[in-house]
Amino acid sequence: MNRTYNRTYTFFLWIIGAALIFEAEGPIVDPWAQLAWYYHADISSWDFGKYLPVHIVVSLVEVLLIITALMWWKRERRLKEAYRFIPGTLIVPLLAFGGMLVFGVLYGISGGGNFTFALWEVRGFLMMIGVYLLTGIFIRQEKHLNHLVWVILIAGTGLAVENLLRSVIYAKAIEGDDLAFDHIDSIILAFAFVLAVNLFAFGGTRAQKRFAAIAMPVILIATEVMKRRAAFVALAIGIVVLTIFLLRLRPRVFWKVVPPLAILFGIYLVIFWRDSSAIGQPARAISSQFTPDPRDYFSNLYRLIEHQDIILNILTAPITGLGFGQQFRFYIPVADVGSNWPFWHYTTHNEVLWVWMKDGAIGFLTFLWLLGRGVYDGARAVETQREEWAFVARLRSRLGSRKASESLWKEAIPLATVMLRPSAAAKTYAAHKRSLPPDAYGLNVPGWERTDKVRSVTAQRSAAVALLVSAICLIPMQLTFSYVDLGLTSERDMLLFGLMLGIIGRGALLLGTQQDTPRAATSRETQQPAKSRSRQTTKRPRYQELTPAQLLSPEERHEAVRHVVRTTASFQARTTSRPLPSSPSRPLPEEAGQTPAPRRPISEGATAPVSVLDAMTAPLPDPLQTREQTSRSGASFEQPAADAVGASGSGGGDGELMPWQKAPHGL
Amino acid sequence: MKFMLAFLALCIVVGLWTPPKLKLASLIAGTAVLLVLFFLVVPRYL
Repeated sequence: MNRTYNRTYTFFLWIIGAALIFEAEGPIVDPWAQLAWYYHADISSWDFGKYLPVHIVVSLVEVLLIITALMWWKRERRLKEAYRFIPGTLIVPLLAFGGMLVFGVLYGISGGGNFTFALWEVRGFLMMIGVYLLTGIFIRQEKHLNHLVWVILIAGTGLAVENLLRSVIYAKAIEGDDLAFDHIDSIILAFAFVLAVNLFAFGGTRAQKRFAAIAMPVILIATEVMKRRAAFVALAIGIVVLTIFLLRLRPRVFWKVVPPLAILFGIYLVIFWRDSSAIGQPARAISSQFTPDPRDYFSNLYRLIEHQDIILNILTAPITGLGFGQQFRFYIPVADVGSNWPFWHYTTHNEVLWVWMKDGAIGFLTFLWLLGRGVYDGARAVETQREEWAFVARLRSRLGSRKASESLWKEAIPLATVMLRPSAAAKTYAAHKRSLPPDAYGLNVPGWERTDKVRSVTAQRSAAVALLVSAICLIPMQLTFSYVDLGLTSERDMLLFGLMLGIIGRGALLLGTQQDTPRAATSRETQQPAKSRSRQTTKRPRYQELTPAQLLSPEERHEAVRHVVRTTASFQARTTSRPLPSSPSRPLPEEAGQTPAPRRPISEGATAPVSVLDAMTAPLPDPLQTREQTSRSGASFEQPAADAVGASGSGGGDGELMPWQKAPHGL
Repeated sequence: MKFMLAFLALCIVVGLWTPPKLKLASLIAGTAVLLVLFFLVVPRYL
């Protein structure tokens, strides 16, 4: 990465951070809120806007993002590698949805709709699409994810602090004001909180965790001060979703943490079910669904009537929708809020069904498809980051059983080879030092699980998985929030949503489970003319699995396999959530009176069968080449070993493939 | 709302628990189509 790229990338992060921390609306008494308003408001609506000769209908944040895109467009010819756009896996549903938005606008205008209102209605979605595309340019490495984590944490905490200060300094002025805080603060604070929790659940740098530990109570208190039920509902949805990921990716943490916390939360609900104080707000968000107070009752009633109106409007044009820019009809009258909200006849509080009402069934279908693909692709990407404790326990149990034989040890070698997923640290070592330290192999085991009693031997502390899981959590959070509280027309949260969709779409690439082949190819061919280079890269597969064979020299591979086998052999079985059918205390073949196989010391206090060591010194098959051969014969490189491990019934496994045995996800 | 959340939950479960060799992206699209058709037939569940 060169300096030009870094400058533009930093500029992009500043834009994102400012958009999150600056509120689009706030009370007049708060000068900070008034200052922040300029960032999101149309330039024509500024004080000097009336003196402008033309009507500038873009906001400052949009102008800055457009400038960023122009900087990329201008320089990408010169800086091909740094600026090459990565489309991501969600580009097809995103463009399909974008196409339906165009259709909705044209259909609405052709029916006599207001073009200005139509543009305002789709403005949030345009921001989402634009930021998704920019993410494919600027967020392309694991370190960028860590930078983004910092941006979101700092912006979320800054926003929370600002809201807390406002609630204290201007307490009387904002009392009873429903617009004292921007609606969108709810989703931003809830997302920042979920990200902070995920840092502890899925890992992050020490500094990130320390900051998150301070930020979490601040964000939670600020959310309580805002007194928005939608914020707590979105937060609850996010927590539920992250527990699902915890169950799959970190099962031991799940069983240690989630059941006790669930019991404690149940006790909290019982105690604060009818409490209206600040600490009782989370409970109120749930209890008001069953026994609403007067304020919540009228809020619920408005939304209930509006919901029926939406359905009736949908039924008038279920396939095409009304079209953007068209007013919808109030078949059942609701309270008049049009005096302070010009979009009263255009936008409903339930903006999920509003998509169908305005864009028709196909538009809603593409929207639902986009959300579903986002969740699915993100889940597939992070699934590769499961802790391998189950595998190690299973392998050790099998190697230590009565039936263990030399052939099983040989099985362990290809398994261990595949297990060596290169980490970011390994790539750095490979690039700069030509050799790998024994602790740099990407064993992909959480930091709290791998230690040599002196220091962590995890390849790298990173919040990449935490951010990806948070991004996935944001999708159901956004859906829930938008179902009740205008979540899809605000540029502010759609910017965040587009950013997270962009990260999900490139998730496998950012986690290192896939390689961006064209970039590697062009870096080797920098001296070739641009035309021939582009022709060559287009013929190559877009993504390719990154295997140890691509990264390590044969000597390094052999050393790596020795390291893994040694680690596996000396691994001490830990308490697991699933029972191990083959007890680690079961006697080894030598102890059971069988003839011991000849062994040779491989390190201090550890030995291995001679046949295994011989197998190590033999040339290893190239995984890529082997996969091509086996795919022609209908089998895969890892499958026999996986079947053997699974069929043994050891380790409490269900016979399914382990993450490092699986092929990367196709994009 | 419940059906849409259930749809997303299904996407998470499919993404996390099915073997990655199975390409199930078309299943997601198919389920979304079925869900919209269901809403068209029974709009009160929207």
